[in-house]
Amino acid sequence: MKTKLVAVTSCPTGIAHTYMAAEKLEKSAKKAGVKIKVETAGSIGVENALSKKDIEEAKAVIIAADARVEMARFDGKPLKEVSVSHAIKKSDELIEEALSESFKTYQAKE
Amino acid sequence: MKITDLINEDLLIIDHQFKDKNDVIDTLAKKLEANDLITDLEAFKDAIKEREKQSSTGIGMGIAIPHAKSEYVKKPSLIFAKAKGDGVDFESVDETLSDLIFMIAVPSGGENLHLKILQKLSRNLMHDEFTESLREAKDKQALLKILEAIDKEEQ
Repeated sequence: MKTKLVAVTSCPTGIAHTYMAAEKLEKSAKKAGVKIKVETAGSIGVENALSKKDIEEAKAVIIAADARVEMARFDGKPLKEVSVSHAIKKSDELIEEALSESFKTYQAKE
Repeated sequence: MKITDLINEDLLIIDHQFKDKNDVIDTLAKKLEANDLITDLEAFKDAIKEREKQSSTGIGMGIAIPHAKSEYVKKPSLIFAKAKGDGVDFESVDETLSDLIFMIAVPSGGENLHLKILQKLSRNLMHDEFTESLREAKDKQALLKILEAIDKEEQ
C-alpha cells in the first residue's frame, strides 16, 4: 500500500487559503508519490473529513491552520503544525519532512 | 451558480498601475461600489484591511486575494485586476510583487453556493498553467473565458 499522509487546512475566513493549502499539499504529495487526504475546514464547513481509519493509517499528520482545529484525535501521531501560508509556500518541503519521520509525536492536552 | 454570477466584464481591470497595497484595496473596493455591490465603501475596506492584519493575503507567486465576509456586501462578488508591469507590493509572504489580484466580497449570512466556486478558483490559482494563462490573456473576453472554464471542472 502506498504511504499515506493526512492533513487539515483551515484559515480565519475560510474562503480561499484553506483550499489553496489543500491543493498545494495534494499537488506536492502526488509529486512525491504518496497518498494524502486533506480535510478542509472552511466557511462551507468541514469537507473531506478524516475518519478514524484515515488517521490510523497515516504515517504523519500536517496541520496547516490559522484557525482552531480539533486536535485530540491526533494523539500519538507524528504531527507538525504550521501556518496556512507556510503550507502554501513550502508544501514540497512539508511533505518531504513528513516522510522523513522528523515530526514529533503529538500528545493531546487534557 | 456559475463563476459569471460573481464576475463580469465590469469587474475586470487590466494593466492598471497600482501605487501600493492601499491603492489596490481602494481601487477595487470603489469598483465594487460603482457596480452597486457593497453598501458602505469605508466599512467594506475596513473589513478587507482587518483580514489583511491577521496575515497578508499576498500569498506569493504573484497572487493576492484580499477578501472579506461582511454585512456591507450586497451580493457575492469577485473582482480581478491585472497589475501593470511586475505588479504591486502587497506585503506578500514571499516578498515578491503581486500582479494577479482577486478581491472577494462575500455577504455575512445567506446561502453558500458561491463559496464552492471560490473554492475551485482558489485551487486553480495554485497551478502555474492557470496563472500563466491569466497573465497571457490580452483582453477581458479572454480572461472571462479562462475563468468560465472553472465551472466545467468536477469538484
